[in-house]
Amino acid sequence: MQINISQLQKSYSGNLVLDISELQINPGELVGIVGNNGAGKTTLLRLILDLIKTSGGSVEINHENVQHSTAWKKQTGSFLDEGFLIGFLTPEEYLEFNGYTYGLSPEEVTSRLSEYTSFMNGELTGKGKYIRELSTGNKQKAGIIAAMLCDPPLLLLDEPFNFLDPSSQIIIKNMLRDKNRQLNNTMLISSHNINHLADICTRIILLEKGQIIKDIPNSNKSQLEELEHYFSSRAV
Amino acid sequence: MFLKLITQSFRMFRRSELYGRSMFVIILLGFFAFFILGQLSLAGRILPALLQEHFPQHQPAEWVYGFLLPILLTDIWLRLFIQSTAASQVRPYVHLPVSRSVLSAYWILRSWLHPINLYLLVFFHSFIRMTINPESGSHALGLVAIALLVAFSQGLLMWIKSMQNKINGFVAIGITTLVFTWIYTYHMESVIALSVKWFVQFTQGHTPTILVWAALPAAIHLVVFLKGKQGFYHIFDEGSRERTVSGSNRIERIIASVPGFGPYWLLEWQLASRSRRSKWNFYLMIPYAIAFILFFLLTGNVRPGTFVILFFLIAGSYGGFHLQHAFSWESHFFDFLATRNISLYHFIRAKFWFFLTYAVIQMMVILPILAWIDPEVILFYVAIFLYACGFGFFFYLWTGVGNSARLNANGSASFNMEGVTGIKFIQVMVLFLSIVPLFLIGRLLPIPNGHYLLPGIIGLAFILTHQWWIRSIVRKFEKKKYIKLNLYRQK
Repeated sequence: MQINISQLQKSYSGNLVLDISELQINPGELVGIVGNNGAGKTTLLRLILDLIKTSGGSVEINHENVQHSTAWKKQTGSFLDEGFLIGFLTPEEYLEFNGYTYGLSPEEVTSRLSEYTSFMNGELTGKGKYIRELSTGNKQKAGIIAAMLCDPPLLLLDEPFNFLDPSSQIIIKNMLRDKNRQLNNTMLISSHNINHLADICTRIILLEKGQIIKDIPNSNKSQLEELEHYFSSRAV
Repeated sequence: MFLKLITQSFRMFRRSELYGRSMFVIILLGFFAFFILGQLSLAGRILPALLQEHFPQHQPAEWVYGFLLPILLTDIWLRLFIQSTAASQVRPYVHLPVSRSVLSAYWILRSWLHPINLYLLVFFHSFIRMTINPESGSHALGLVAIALLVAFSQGLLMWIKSMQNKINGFVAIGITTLVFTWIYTYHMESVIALSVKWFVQFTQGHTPTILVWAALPAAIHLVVFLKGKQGFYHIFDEGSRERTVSGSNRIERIIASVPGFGPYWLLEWQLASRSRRSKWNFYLMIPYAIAFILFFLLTGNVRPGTFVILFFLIAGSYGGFHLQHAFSWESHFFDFLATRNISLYHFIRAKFWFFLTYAVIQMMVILPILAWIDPEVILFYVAIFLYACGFGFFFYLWTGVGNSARLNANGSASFNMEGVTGIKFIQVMVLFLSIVPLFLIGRLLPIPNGHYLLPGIIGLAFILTHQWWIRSIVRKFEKKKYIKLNLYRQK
């Protein structure tokens, strides 16, 4: 799946919070988006997912404007925040309903869930709890699994490592890398954890105050030092 | 420190999101509060005359003061189900260096501020004035006696709700209720006489009676205070207690298997049946259906005024209370819906058919009862059914596009004004009053039962054309999509 962003702007009350002139995410890329708070990472993901209206410009997925078509939804898995969770369902029911929207049968959902056994760590399913009763970490897991379960050609995750225990962070990091290699799907991962992103991403985009400051290819932590240097300099 | 906590409490009250929402809600709440208190006071004034007329075998005062124990038990049961103690108010301070005595006293005082503590006092304030001769007893002391009963009830509730296992408290109150029911059944006259005697002695300032009467609430409050001093573990236990849900039951499996709409209907059912507030709204159909039948039995014939009330009852029971907040119930997961491969048309259509089916099931239960009471009412009932489900559902879904208040489906069920705005209130009023002109115009038509047929035909037309107007709603919805999503997300 390819994403084309052109002259994209988002402003609130005249205050420009995102301004990207051109950006192309190519099929099979695993792109990390980093930036300090308020950089516009979540805004960018919301614009790609057509959750907020652009103030200018356009986002296209596979050459279709996301505002004018919904065909991309079938090809896109996403989890940004708790607004993607249905609190009164159990994780099993949620994943089943989520799978239904992608055309997966309950049996397929159950079968695919086995891939995530170690990630769930026995805490998510079979507990007889509604999602609203889960810990923040387990809610995060439910959302991430829902986004990944259908092996979407395009995957968007916002801060997927937040609230997860160290083991789960490593598991999901490796899963993202492996899925990307196996399925050649496009992934956009926003995170504050530059170590994890530098580990797995093939490309890293650095956002600052709504603009792309750096857009650099990355392989095997090659850009970690540069990123650390950039953020260290901002911390002084 | 105690005063500091009280100040915090006052600040919380003053800054409540509920009051900050809109001036309209403040006025509405104030109006309802005064209306209810006024009704209670009025009931206290007119009850003596009604009792005298319908139950002349005893003096009105005897009927009430002789039944103080059942009144107390009823009050306790009512509190057990609807009153929460102010545990959540204490929670933020438990980990702070505040002495447990202060916290315990604060907990008791905050719990006392619940409005339920007012209703008996307001009622008896009027009733005592109407029934106690100032020469034979003091009105003020009579009110003190009632206040002590309220205090006992309040203390008992706090004691039960702070138990590790509340079921024990419910069982104890249940057994007490059964015992007193048995005593009243077999020794009614002597119990009434004893109860009246104690109350009158209290109003006359009989010291031993006052001391005994006051000792009970004092004792229970002391117990509660000491319990609070031991710690507020029950507050935290409540949150961490393991609760399990049973998963899909038979109803859910049936709903999920409905062709075409299954998963959407299941989601709708789970939303309505699994969360406190939505469940409360959804299950209102039962009392409303009963109220409808009773209302019809009592009023006999149908006039424009009663027509509106009957329509209100039916439309409410068919899901009106739920659907007036259409799309707001889903506000917490609207981002999910917006990013999945879900057709909004199919989603709204599934919602329409879900509530239509819900209404049909109710009609199938109520119709035979009505046919048994009076077969002539069936035409009226069917007409109202069609209007409530046709025009009513259209109206809720159409105006629902404008709903932008985020609703917590699992939020507090009673007295929760979340989602209520001035416009919403007016919209619902317009819907209920819309039946009146149809009724009047229908009467002018040169056909028999025109006043039933007209709303019925209009309702049927809306049901038959639902695909068309749902498409129109979808278009309207798409135009407001970003605004709605943003409002649902921000709050």
